[in-house]
Amino acid sequence: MKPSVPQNPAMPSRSADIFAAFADIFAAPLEAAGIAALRDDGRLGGLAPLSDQPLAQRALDVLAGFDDAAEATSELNAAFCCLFLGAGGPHGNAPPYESAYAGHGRLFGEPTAEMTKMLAAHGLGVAEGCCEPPDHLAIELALLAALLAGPGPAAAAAVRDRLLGWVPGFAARCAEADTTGFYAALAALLHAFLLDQAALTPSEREIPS
Amino acid sequence: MTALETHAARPFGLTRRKLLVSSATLGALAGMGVARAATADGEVLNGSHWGVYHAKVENGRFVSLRPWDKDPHPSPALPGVQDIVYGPSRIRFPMVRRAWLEKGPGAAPETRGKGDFVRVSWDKALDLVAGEIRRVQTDFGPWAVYGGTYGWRSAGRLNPQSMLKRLLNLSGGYVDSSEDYSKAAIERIMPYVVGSVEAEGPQSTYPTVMESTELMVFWGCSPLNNNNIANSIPDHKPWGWFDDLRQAGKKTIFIDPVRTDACKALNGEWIAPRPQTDAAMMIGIAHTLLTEKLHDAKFLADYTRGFDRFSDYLLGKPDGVPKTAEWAAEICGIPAATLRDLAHRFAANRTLLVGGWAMQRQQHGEQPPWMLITLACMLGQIGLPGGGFVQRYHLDSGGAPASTAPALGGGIALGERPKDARPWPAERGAMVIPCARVVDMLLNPGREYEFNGRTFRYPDVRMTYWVGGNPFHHHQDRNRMVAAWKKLDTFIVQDFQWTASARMADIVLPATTTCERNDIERVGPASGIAILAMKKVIEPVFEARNDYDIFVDLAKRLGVEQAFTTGKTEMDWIRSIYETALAQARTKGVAMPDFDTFWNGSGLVEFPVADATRKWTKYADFRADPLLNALPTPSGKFEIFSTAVERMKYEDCPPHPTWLEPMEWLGQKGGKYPLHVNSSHPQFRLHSQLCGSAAVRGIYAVAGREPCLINPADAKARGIGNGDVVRLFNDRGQCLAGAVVTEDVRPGVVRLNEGGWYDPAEAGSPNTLCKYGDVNVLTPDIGTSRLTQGTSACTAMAEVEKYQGMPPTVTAFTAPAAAG
Repeated sequence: MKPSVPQNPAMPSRSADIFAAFADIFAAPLEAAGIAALRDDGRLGGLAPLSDQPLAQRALDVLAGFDDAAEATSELNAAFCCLFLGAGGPHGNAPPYESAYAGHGRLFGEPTAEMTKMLAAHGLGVAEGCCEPPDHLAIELALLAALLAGPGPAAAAAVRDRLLGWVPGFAARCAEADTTGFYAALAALLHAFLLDQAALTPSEREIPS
Repeated sequence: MTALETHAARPFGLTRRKLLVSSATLGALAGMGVARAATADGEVLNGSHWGVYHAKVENGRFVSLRPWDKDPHPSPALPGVQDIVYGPSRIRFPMVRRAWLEKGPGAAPETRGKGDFVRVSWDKALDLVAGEIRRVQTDFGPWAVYGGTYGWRSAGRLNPQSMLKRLLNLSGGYVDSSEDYSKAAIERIMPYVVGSVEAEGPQSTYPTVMESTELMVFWGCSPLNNNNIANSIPDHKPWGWFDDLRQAGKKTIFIDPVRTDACKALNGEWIAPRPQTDAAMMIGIAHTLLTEKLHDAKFLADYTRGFDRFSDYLLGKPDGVPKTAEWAAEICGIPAATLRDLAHRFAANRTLLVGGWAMQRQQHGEQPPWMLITLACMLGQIGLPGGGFVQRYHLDSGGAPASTAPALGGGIALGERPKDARPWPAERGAMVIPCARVVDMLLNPGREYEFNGRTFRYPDVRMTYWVGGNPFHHHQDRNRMVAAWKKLDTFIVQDFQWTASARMADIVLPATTTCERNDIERVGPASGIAILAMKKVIEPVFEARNDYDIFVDLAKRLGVEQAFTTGKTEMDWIRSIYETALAQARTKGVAMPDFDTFWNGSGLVEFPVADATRKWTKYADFRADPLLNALPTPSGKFEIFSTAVERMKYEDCPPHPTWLEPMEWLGQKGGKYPLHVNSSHPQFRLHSQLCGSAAVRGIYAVAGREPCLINPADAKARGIGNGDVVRLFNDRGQCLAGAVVTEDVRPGVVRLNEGGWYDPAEAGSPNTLCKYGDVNVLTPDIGTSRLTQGTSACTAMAEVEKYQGMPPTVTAFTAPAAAG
């Protein structure tokens, strides 16, 4: 008989799910159907394993605080556009790119070259339909998720540490610029989760056979 | 190795976005020619509004730049060019405001500016734009489409505004704009005074000034400010000229509310009258010249018309008020003795009066330039080397001697409405409006207005399409504008970055920057020292597309593709622009390679300065023979009194230079607000361009905001210290800024440069606070007069206080280094 797999968010396959869910959140705005589902679900969907944490609760409170799903969609979409798509201008944005947190804050910096190499080293590349540079948060998170689900935690460590180099700065920008508080909470939650993962011992990270 | 895929979590019922694929898949696609071609590694020469530069490319990325070796004084803002290309405010893909997309044109206009945009494909976006143009043309008419699209766009001859106007013409017509925000008053009054716009084209050259001028008077003019930039590509020659002036010890006077860098560079004498009183100050000086018989009666008799009517005014014959130095001192705040002394010195020396344009960007803006020329006429030195007047030294390096270069044209013509286009009856309104009256047009459809001696009617505009401009920067009275803009069914913005205008739009189309496409431009607007191939540096980022390609696709949808392109590609247009110039060069015997040699070689053709133009004095030929070289005015002379203007009977523009009290100014009895707001052009931007650059803002921002100069006495009275966040406010609006306490600004005046990006605390809310420092929340939206209908931005009074609340966060772009 196979031993049961503990429901532990520290396990690589589970953490891969969680990082993939984070990737989804920062890749594109939430759509109406998805927001309605989240409001009903009350546990942040793919981030459910983290939903007991205060930061997750904060995000859930924001979601619940809107009059209806339509209002939530409009407000959160505006926040996404202003924070992550450049519409907020230089004073209201939190660019989700590693390059933005190095040097002069321009996009398409050295991290894009580094990420291209890293993706290639794992036999991957950015999908043709995606116009974002490879140092976009969602892409770095997607890589992390893929490595955790595939080769395992050792390969993933390099990407995780890379993210820890700039996600704190990104989360701080979100905290300053996000008037809804939703994305600020989720960015901080991501930061916290990255730290948790980094702190786990190798044995805690392994999947028992 | 097994192909890896992104892990398919199943949250919220979303389809997983495919971000990563196996590179084997990519490889296959690349083999089908889908992969992008990269520009070769190395340096690429290119140009911008800030100068010529070398762009370094590594693996398809623009990694750094350095100024052109031959730039005599590179602009400190040049690094901002990289921010233009790679700034986080780049528009990524086409977007549509949600309410407009879901409920149609005109839906919920009060929600514009919130940022609730939905991404759409290019095909969908272009279908929507073309569909809207067609709908408005059909359901209303060409008078309902505003295509004035004012703005400075990018350097380069491929003008997206011409492309837009051509498209709108071919698809039925549109309402255009005339004049500009820079010099509308001058543009419309000068033809009555000298027979031309005057303040454009070549000016008396620097060498003539070096040789002959004894006293230079910079009246509201700083050649070391705006000459950092140019409409085409600046040559930065004024800095060398200023070095020469300094070494020669030329005597200079700067009449300006601010002691500018130019004044300090020349150790100039600084005289700071009350803003907006320049005409009165000049009139007072003129009175001394006349009564002490220091004026040149012969010059006035031979080269001007109407001085007798003006001298009656000076002596107080019509109104009983002689315009003495005392009279002027009371108005401008400069002692009468000083004004008399200036008159004596102007007359005793070879004097050059150099006028800037801020003093015509105000209510009754026609008066100061007209009076400046009248003063020059009275001094009688117009047409003598080093004497007379100049109105374009502050821009385009106007005194740089011209080279042998041929003109470089614009290529794409605006075209015309089709022959079978819908008739445009007069009652539908004007086909062209003065650009600064755009909000009046929105607020008063069908109403009559006066302009330059005639009466027109405002059309009833329903949509506007803007490219290469940022009206939510350059237009005055921001709150009035936001309210008026709700009238529009549809606002389309095509740009490379999220300006305040893009954020107010319904449909946003991402355009490429000049680094992502090819173009061609002239270096040195006046000097024409070179023609530069602006060669593509990198492939377009995100989903940005070239303006030309966007307009061609729209033309296809509107059924006018062939008429629009005439079969030409973008490169064909560049070639034809060059070849037109080449043909001209050949007729003049000027050496220029053929296009392919030019484009595939160095991409730069340089032209020597022509000896004949090195020492050139404007109006010298008129002075030499006023009959043969008569000015194109009714009298053939300078018109100090204009019968044409007299016939208009405009109270706000009399037929000779006149002091007219502004609606709000420092000398006003019982004025509500105590401080004059000076909003001159910034030093390190081009208007609002580069405000998105963190690197450039780092040079000048204070407390993360637009800097506000304030005199120590005014600051002390308000408890304001250097570096404090301050709030400027009046009845029209309010904004924050960062205080710079300095003696360089006279008491009673604060300076907040124009171009700070509008950053409303609550988009769409009346009188919301602008958190960054957009001075146009404070300025009035009135015409300079019924004759010129220009912008009166410089007629603004306000109060300033130390900001009481917690300053809303406007943090520097670069986040703090990660704790790790």
